[in-house]
Formats: sequence, structure tokens, C-alpha cells
Amino acid sequence: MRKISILILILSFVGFAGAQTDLIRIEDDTELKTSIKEHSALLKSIKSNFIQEKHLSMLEEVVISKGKFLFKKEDNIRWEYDTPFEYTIIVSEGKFLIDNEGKISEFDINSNPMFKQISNIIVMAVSGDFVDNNQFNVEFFQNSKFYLAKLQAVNEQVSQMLSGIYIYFDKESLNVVQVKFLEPGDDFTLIKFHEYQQNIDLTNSDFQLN
Amino acid sequence: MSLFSCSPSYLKNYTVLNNSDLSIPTIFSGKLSKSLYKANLKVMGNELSGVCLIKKVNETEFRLVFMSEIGMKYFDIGIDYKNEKPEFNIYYFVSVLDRGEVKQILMNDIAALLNEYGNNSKTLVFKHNNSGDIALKNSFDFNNYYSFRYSGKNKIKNLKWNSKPEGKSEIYISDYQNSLPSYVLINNAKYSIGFSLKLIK
Repeated sequence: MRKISILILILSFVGFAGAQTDLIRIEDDTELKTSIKEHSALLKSIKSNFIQEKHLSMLEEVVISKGKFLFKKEDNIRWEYDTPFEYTIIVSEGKFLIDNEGKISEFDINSNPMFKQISNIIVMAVSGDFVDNNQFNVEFFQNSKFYLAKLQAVNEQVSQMLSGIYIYFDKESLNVVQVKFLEPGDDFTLIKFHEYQQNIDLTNSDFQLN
Repeated sequence: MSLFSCSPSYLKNYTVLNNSDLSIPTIFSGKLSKSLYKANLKVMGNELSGVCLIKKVNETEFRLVFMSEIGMKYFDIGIDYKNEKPEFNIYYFVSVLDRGEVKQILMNDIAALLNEYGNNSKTLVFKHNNSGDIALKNSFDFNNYYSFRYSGKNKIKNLKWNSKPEGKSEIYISDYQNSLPSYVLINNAKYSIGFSLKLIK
């Protein structure tokens, strides 16, 4: 069973790497930008499971965590990890709520500029709402499966933390299927969404801690 | 601190055991190849949480990466024990922690956690005069580290030392799982630094 899991993991990396190597830059991105903007404007909510892979290149290690993700416009997020630890972050009504294995904490979103920045970046990445965002330079690529938007922060403080943000869109649905946060050096965090649903009803209680 | 300086009160009521044939435990007792811990770091009232990956990368060197749950690294350090004092490689240290003595204490305290006290250290075994509990004094890098065993078990429950550059640090281990410490608390009272690790796998 363990061998099968490792094989699946290796094959998924090979598949993912293969999927990236044939990416071609889109020179005229006007039409794609319009489509992404329209798709983003129609997006009201997202409910999805996710697998997060933290790739530590020098250690040749991948730390995998899993959970559930909810998003409701304008800026409500529930990021809930259930494996291998329990941890939930909720961003709603100008506040961060954190449930760290039963320990609850709450603070104002404006009290921590770094957290606010991260929250904004996550919302922007998962909703595809970056086309007119002058905080990032964007280049578009494509292959048979994905559109890829490569974002680079203009702000030096952000670029010291994140050397790039890669957002992968399904070519047919324009749903965001993967987001890759690259750090200076070769480490990165890859978030893969699956069982993705959009524009379903999410209530305020979904953005509260139970 | 000199190797021959007077011991603090850590070993009051303990007597040195000469010619002890006791197998000498350390916190990880050479069993760590790679482990993932849920981690919390408190520094002067501020708290960072996440996961901590500890990996033995070769015979003498460990790498420790502490990162948030969402994957952002707080620090990434290597500690090599091949020489008479631990050598640190800092691969990354987030700016909010990269200040003054906090960083230094944190690194030295983590070095004490992972130290297996090889050929570069000298170990003395002590026995408590009343309870018979065993304590160990490891002299390494011109400092003394006092380990206290669980009563009747060859496992460390507590490690105390004078931290660098100052203050006293302690490590508490409340449980072991498959020979690995499953809950660890590293504490430096003077700088209000507390780093707790809960074993995931």
C-alpha cells in the first residue's frame, strides 16, 4: 500500500512536471484577460478540498497537508486543515479567527499587515481576480490542459517573501485548479484543489468557528 | 562558562557514580532520522504556530525547518556537531525573529535538544541520594547540560543548562512514542521564549 502511494505521488509529480514543460507563452493575452475577468466577476463562492504540498528542495522533502477551503465574495475565507493536524483560519468581517487544535484566537486584520497581505494574495489567487491588479506583473502561458498566470509582486517586501505566484486555470472551465507560491531559493508551496464547486450557497456560519 | 565552574543547584542531593555501566540516553538517543512536529513558538508574548520538520541529513548534521501551517517558512537552520562546538547554517530566518539575542538563544536551545553528545563531550552519571533517580552531566562546548531521567526508565524527561548568551533554558519531555519524544517544551524564562513540539509522525 505504501509502495503504491509513493508510486502515485511520484507519477503525479512527473505528470505535473510534464504538464509544465510544454507551456508556451501567450504573446497576445487580451482575450484571455477578458475571459478571466468575466469569470472572476461571475464568481460568488468556492467550496473545495485541497492538498497542500510544501516542497523543501534542499532537504528533498515534501510535507503534505489536506483540508477544505471555502471562499465567499468579497473576502470571506475558511481554510481548514484536517490532516495531519487540525488547524483552521477564517478571514471574515475584518477579522482573523484561528482554531489551532482547539485553541481559539482572534485578531483584527489590520493589526498585522503581513497577514493582511497574505489574505489578499490568497483571495486574489483563488478567485482569479488579478488582471487589473497593479501590484503584480503578469505573464500568461498555456498547454493543452492549463492556462498559467505567472505573477510577480511589484512590492519589494512581498517579493522578498514570494518570488512568484503561479495560478493554473483549467482551460475549459477557467476554474483555478492549482496555485503555486514560490519562495526565494527553490522551495515552493503547491495547493491543488479537487472536488471543486463554485457559486453554491455558503452562509455566514460557514465563516465562524463552531 | 568554564567546564570546571561550580555547578548550579541542579545536582543538589545527587552523588556522582563512578564506573557506571549505564547506557547513556539523550533526548532522541540516535533514533531520529526524520520527524514532523506540530509546533508553537512564543516569543515575548507573540505566538507563531506551524509545523516543524527535523531531519538528520548526515552522521553529524541535523536540519530543522519551522514553517506556518500554510507553508511559509519562519526559519530553516542546519546544526552540525562534527567539531567541538555546534556549527550553525542559517538557510532562512524570518525578519521578525532575526533580531538580537532571541535568534541566538533559539538556535542554541535547539542545538541542545538535538545534541547526541558524541566524542566531543564528557559525561558524568549522578544518582539522587534519596530517590535513586539518575541524572547526567554532559560537558560540551564549554557549557554543562544537566539531564534528568524518568524514574526507572532510560529516557530523558528534563534537560537544564545555562543558555547562551544568557539566561537559563530548560527542555521538558512529557512523553515518548516509538523512542521519539512526542511532546517537547523548550523554555527560556529570561527572554520569554517557549518552543513546543508535538509529534505528528
